[in-house]
Amino acid sequence: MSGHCIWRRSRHVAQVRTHSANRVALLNLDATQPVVLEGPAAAIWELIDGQRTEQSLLAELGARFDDQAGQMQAQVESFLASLEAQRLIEAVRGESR
Amino acid sequence: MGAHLSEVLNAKVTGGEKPGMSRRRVIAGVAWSVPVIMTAVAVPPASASPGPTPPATPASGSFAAGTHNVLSTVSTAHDRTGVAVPATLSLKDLGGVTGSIGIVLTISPQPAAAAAPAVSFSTVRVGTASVPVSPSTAGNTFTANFSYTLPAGAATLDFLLSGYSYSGRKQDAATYAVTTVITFQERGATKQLTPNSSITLIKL
Repeated sequence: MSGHCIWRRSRHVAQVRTHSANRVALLNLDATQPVVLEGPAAAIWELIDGQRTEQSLLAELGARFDDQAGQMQAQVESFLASLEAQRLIEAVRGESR
Repeated sequence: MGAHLSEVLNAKVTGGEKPGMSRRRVIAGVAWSVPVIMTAVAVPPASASPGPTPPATPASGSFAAGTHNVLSTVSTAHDRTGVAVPATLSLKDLGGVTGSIGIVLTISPQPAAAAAPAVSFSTVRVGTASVPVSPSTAGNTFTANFSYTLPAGAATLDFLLSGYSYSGRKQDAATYAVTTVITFQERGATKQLTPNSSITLIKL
C-alpha cells in the first residue's frame, strides 16, 4: 500500500446521510443500484475528502476505533479498493498506490 | 441547535461517570468491525396502479478510444506517438452478473497481411489495480486473455488498456481489427458480449 495515496469522492456520486444513525446511501449516477455504508464504512467515507492520505485516514480511524484484532489497515485497503471498483472514489491525479 | 444537542449528548454520556469523562473520550475506543458495502434493495417507483415489471437491462460492453504512444520493438527510432487505440473497455448494466468475467481480446491486421507488424498491449487495469494478462502472439495476431471478479454490487466495470507496442517501423501501414469475446454469468445463464474496435497505423 502507498500510504501517500490520496482518495477523493468521484464526481457523479449522489449521497444521502443520516447523522444520528451514522449511515450514508451512495449512488454512482452511471450505476443502477445504490449502496449503503454504516459504522466504520460510513466513517471511512466521511474521511475521504481529496486531502487526506491513506496514512492520515488510518490514523484518524485508529483514534476513533479500537482495532483489537489488528486487521484495520488490511480491511481499510480492501474497502477502498471496493469503493474504487464501484467508481465511488478515485485516486487524486498524480498519486499512485 | 448544534450546541444544545451537544450539551444533551454530553449530559447523557457523563451522567453517573467519573468527573472529567467527556463524550469524545467515550467515543474513542468503539470496537472496530470490517467495513462493508451493503447493496441497497432497489425500491420500485411509486405509482397509482401497479404496472408491469420492466425487463432487466442486459449487460453490454463497448470500447472507448484514446491516444497512446505505440512503441516499436524494432527500434525506438520507430516509436509512434498519439496513436488512436482502444483505451477503455467499458462494461455496464452488470447488476445481474455474478462471479468472474473472462475476456479474450484479439488484435489482427485486416485484411490479413503477412507483412503487417503485430500490435499488442501489455497492461490492463481496473482503477489503479493491475489485472494479470496472459498474452500470446501467433504471426502478427496478438491475443490477450484476462479475467476479473466483479465486486459485490458493482454495476459497471472499466478495463484500462495501456502499454501498446508494435513489431514494425514507421513506414508500415495497416489497419487492425480489435475483437473481443467477454464471457460471464448473468442471472444464472452464461452470456457473451463481442464488442469490437480498430487500430490504424499510417505510414510516417
